[in-house]
Amino acid sequence: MAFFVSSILLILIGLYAVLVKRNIMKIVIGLSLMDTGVNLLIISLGFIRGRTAPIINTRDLLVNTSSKVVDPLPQALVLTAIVIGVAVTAVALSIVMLMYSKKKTLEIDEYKELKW
Amino acid sequence: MWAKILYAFLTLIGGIAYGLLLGGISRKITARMQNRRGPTVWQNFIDLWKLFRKKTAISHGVMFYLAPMFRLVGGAGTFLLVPVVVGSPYLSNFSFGGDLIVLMYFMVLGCLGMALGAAESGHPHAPIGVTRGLSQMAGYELPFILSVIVLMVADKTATLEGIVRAQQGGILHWHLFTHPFAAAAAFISLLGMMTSYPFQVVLAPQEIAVGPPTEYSSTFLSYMFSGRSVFAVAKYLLFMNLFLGGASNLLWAFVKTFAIFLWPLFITNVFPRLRLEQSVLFFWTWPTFLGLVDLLRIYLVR
Amino acid sequence: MVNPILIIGITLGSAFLIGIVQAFRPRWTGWIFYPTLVFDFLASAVNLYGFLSGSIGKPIMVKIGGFPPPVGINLLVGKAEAALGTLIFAVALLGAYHWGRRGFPQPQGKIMVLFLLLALGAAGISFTGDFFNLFVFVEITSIASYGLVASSRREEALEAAFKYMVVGSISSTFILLGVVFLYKATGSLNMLDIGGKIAGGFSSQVLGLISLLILAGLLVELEVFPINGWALDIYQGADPVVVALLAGAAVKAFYLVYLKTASYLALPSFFKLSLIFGGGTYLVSQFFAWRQENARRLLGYSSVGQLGLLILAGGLLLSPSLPASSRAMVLAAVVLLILNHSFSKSSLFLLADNVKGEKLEDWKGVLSSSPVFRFSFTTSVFSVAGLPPFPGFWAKLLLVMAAARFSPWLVALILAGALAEVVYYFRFFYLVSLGDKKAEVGNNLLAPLVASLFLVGAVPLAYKMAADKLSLTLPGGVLVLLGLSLLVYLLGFSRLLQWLASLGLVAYGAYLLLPFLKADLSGFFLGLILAGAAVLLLATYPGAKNLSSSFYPAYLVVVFSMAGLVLSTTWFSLFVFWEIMSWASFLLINMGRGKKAAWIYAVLSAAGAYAMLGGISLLPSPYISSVKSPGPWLALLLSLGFLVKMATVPLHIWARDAYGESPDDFTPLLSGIMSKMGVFGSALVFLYVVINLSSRSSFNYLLGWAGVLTAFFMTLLAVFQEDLKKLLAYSSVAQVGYILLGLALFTPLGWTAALYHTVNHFFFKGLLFVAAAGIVYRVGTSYLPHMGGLIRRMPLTFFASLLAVIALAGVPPLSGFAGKWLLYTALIEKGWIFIAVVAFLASTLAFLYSFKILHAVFLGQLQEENCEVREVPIPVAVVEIILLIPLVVLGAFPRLILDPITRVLGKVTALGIPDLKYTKTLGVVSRLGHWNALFLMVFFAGAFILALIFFALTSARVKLVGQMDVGYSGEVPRSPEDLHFGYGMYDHFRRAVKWLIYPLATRVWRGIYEALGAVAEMGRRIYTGDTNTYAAYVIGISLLILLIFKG
Repeated sequence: MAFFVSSILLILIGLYAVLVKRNIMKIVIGLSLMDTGVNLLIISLGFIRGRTAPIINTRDLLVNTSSKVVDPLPQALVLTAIVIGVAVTAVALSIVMLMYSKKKTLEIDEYKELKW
Repeated sequence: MWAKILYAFLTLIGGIAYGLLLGGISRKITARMQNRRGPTVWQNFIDLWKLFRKKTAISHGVMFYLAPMFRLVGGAGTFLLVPVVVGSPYLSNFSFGGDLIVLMYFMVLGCLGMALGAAESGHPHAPIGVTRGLSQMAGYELPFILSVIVLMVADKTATLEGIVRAQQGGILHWHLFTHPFAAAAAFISLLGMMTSYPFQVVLAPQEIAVGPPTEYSSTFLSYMFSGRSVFAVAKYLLFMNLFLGGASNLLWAFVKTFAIFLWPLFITNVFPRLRLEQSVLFFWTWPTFLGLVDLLRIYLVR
Repeated sequence: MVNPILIIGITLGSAFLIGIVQAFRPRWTGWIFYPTLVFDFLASAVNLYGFLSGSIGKPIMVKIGGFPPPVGINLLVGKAEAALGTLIFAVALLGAYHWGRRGFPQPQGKIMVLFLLLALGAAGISFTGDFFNLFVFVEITSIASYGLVASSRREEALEAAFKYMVVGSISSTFILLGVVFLYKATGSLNMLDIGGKIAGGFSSQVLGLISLLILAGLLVELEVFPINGWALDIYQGADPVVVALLAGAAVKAFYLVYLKTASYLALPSFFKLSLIFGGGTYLVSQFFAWRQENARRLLGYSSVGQLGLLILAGGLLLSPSLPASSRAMVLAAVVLLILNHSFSKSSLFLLADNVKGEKLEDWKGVLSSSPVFRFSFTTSVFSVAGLPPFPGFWAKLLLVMAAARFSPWLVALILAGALAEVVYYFRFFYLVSLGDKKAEVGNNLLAPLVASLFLVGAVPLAYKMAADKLSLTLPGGVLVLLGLSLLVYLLGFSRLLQWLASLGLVAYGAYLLLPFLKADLSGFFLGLILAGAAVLLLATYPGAKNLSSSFYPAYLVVVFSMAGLVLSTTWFSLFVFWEIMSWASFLLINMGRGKKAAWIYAVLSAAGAYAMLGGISLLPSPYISSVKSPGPWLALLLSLGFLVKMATVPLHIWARDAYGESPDDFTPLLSGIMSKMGVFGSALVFLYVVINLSSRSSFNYLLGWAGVLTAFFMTLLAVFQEDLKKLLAYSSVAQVGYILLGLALFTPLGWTAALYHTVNHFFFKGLLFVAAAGIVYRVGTSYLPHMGGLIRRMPLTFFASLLAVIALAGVPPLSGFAGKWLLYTALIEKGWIFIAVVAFLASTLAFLYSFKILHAVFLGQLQEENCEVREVPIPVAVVEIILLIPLVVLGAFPRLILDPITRVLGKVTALGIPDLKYTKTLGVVSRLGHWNALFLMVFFAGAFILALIFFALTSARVKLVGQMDVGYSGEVPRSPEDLHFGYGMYDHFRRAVKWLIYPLATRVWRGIYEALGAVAEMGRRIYTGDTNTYAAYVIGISLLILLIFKG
């Protein structure tokens, strides 16, 4: 439950940054926070109290595996999601770098040329 | 058939002569009202003869040359489409050629031809006069059409014979009395048709030197002149047939047309002149209103 | 069959390889890049061919890693996926080629990697059969897009990329959360598996919310209103090639997966959600684009709108209450819309890449820059705006017919959006065709050309699909003729050859359609079209004129589409030909001087046509046959298109300039014949719809007034017009007003008058416009005050015009009078006496401009600069002579036309034959009066000749004097200019009727346009350009979706 609440909190904090902060870097950080929150949420969904990680590192896990480990799929998904999150953050940061090199500012208000 | 043409031709000669005579009378009456002696009533015949006998004639081109023919044939044609005495084998002219609608459009032909010839003369006053005439026509046609439609709807016929027959049986059957408002509208538009004061700006002898025919002279003008005379008589005959019950013999025809002839004459000598837009708007208001009264009456009664 | 995994794998491998090669031999990257795309395209195409030919029977299922679904990830490629893959790689190839020719931004290899990843991601999105895999592909696509959008490194591009990234991340978060919750709820990630479970009755309380989460994420990517500000920014700011790829390919993949997800998850509220968001986006975007001044953003609004239409169609597909036949129609429409939009928008964006500057202003004159540009642009704009014969047109037809089963309001929405689209696209078109100087345009035009050729190539396919679904049959002969007409374009190197070919084609057309020339309404109009077109075409002899190479093809298309129109047996077929005719004539008008006039014509034509289509969609049967108990609205909707073509008041505002400024060689056809198609259509409406109307008499009376007021006001305006062709234009519209009046009478006599006038108006107005073309060709202007006295230089044309004007004025003894006589007789018989009064007055007013035509052109003083003007060219003179013969002959023998009309009316059982008798002495006898045409002619001609002979014999010596030799108060005028009365001829009359000629209709229409434009401009302000705001819109709308549609 703590995982659940904290992950939701993380998402909300991230969202807050995206919706309210006027600094581009803070928006990017907000996106990252959201991403992390979502990943945590997924893990917590697959978690079953009293079970171990779905890694067969001891012999006794070989029998009745499915009743001894937590759901492996969310963890696999999260692995992928983390990789994607890293890629997105990388692209985001490089875009931000280019933006800064053009206008020398990170204020989002300065980036409203395209509208209407 | 040939007899018919002969009769029609004789009537036409009579019509032209009558028209010229009426023109002379009008000059005489006008003069007397202005305390002048005035020319003799035969003056128009003398003028016509003088013009006809001129030695040279100036022409400005083909259309200019043909226009007097248009004018004369148009005027004569209009005259011949109107029966002088309905039912008479001698005096009903070529009224089989068409009904009232035909007549109203045929009337334009002579005017159109003359207008084109005049315009070719190259004198600016000619087209000025023509456009004034056409605009004025747009003015007086509205009340006139109103009253004609009233008659056509009331009598359920578009032929002049039919309209005359519908008025038989006493003076009170004349459309002048059965449809007084329509008749009033038509008679007011007659003033416009005759281009007499107060609607005389079309010819305006002093300013644009009688407008359309300003460049015409000698034989050309004589043709125009006769065309105009017979055209006037045709209009009087038309009004007689429309509103005064037609004529049962030649004498009546003379009396009635003469009466109609007097109507614009009396107006013309006591009124000043209106500008063109004033006359158009005048025609589109009071006489139109009068015409509408009868049209509405017919519409509701039907 | 090619295993789809090969497409994914090879593309991914190539992307890696390019990354490595880039490090060592940057120039070699292209050797990997292009072959990969070609392979992808061919592989998808082979699969598509397999599905279409039936050699692949069921969807290809690819198990990855050997695990069978639902455990393993799988690809599932069916017909739709294969088709979409082909489309994606086709667009990608075009974009890659285009970009390569212009030069990729550096570093080239990295851009190529992103390019491949974008195409791959889009293909993957459509191929995958697994929800989590879907998320991965969405992310691949998104990341590649962020990079590509930013690749040009322009400030705008970076800004757009950043906004896209923020919004895109939120949307993929939704998708990811949705997918995981879905797994939690159903225990599966496989689409088929989940779909099967849900179809099998599986249900969960949270399933609705979960599905909505996924769909909300996809809706962000599908750019629905109002969460599409970022998309518009991309369209505006990114490199046009990237935009072509995104709009042409990637978005379509999102669309497909949206449909699949929605149907697998099968929530009943999905169809409403799609209808609301699709319809709203469609209408709002098409409307917001009205006053957009940035060309790329304008195209962006259009793309968003088209996507909205697709989502709306998706909503129809998801609707449980849609009948199977309609579902097939919608499916076909979706396929055609995707095809249409992908290629037309790719073409347009790649064209935009060739234009310097983004403002509409900067596009001025580009149409005249090169024929390839003109062809691609025209084709693409026509397709994207849904005009015939392109796929978008058939898609619209299908969609409207299917939507009609659903709700008439949906039809209204679709058509309103389509109209708004025409408004701004043709405003664009009008601005683009403006400008006398050639704009500087890049020459990277092959890719857009290929894209537009695809569109042309798709026409038969689209037609076949629509024809199957709608059971539409078009007269085959006409289609052949239309095809041949387009081939005349290939003779573009010689106008003379084109002219000869056109004459030959019209002759062939006449031969082909000969069996249809029967004595019925169609045959009557067909005869007019074929004979008339042949004669008028003769007068277009190119000589040294500066005709466009597409003049003759478009001319022929107008002619043959009119033939198809009158031969139509269904309303569909009529509508199709009507549209073809309208748009071909738009192109012709646009070739003239009046570009803006052409735009207004386009808008009003489209409004009328869409009203007609709306009406058709309400009909119980597409066959042109009696409609039982129609409502007055139906009658009005069906008539509107025809009324626009007839330029009936108050829909007349296009006519003056469109007639007056269209190419002089086209105007005779436009006035003489094309405006009569409105007459034909109205006749059909009167015969088959209005006839069963309960309020028939008031409907007819209303149209009667519309007709007579058209005649009156247009005549009045003609009186004051100072331009010859515009004057004739007003006159033409006024005459058609009389014809409408005759039809509205709905008595045999009224129809006789209308049909007679239809033919006769062709003779005299065709003659006048042909003469006008000759005069304008010789004098170089259509402005009346610059003419005068031309009788001396053009005696034949004067004579022909004189007869035509006499006929026009309706003065006996020429042919024009018959129409007047019949009409007035019919009016008085019917008892429409107030209308009769106005009609009479209008025809009196016609005398005013009749004189003006003859005087201002031919009479008065010949101006100095016109002294050397020659008679019109021989072909024009020949046509003048051909056309003046009937004016005289019909004047004497009106029965030559009246008898055929009587026979035609005999076929029209609803009316019967007119009560006319013919006697020797009285001529034509009606119940009211009589009129002896032959007598009048003989009498007048005889008397005239007699008078002439008498005059010649007796008159004085006639002396011809020079034109300046007039009695001028003893003064000698200096130049003919001083003596010519040719300007403001009716100023005195104008003072009297000033209050009647106030341009009320124009002001009102313009006011409406401006007001809507202002509202659109205000509405667009919701796209503030602020990143936070856009993110807030996404969150807000998603919450709204979750709250409203969860049930």
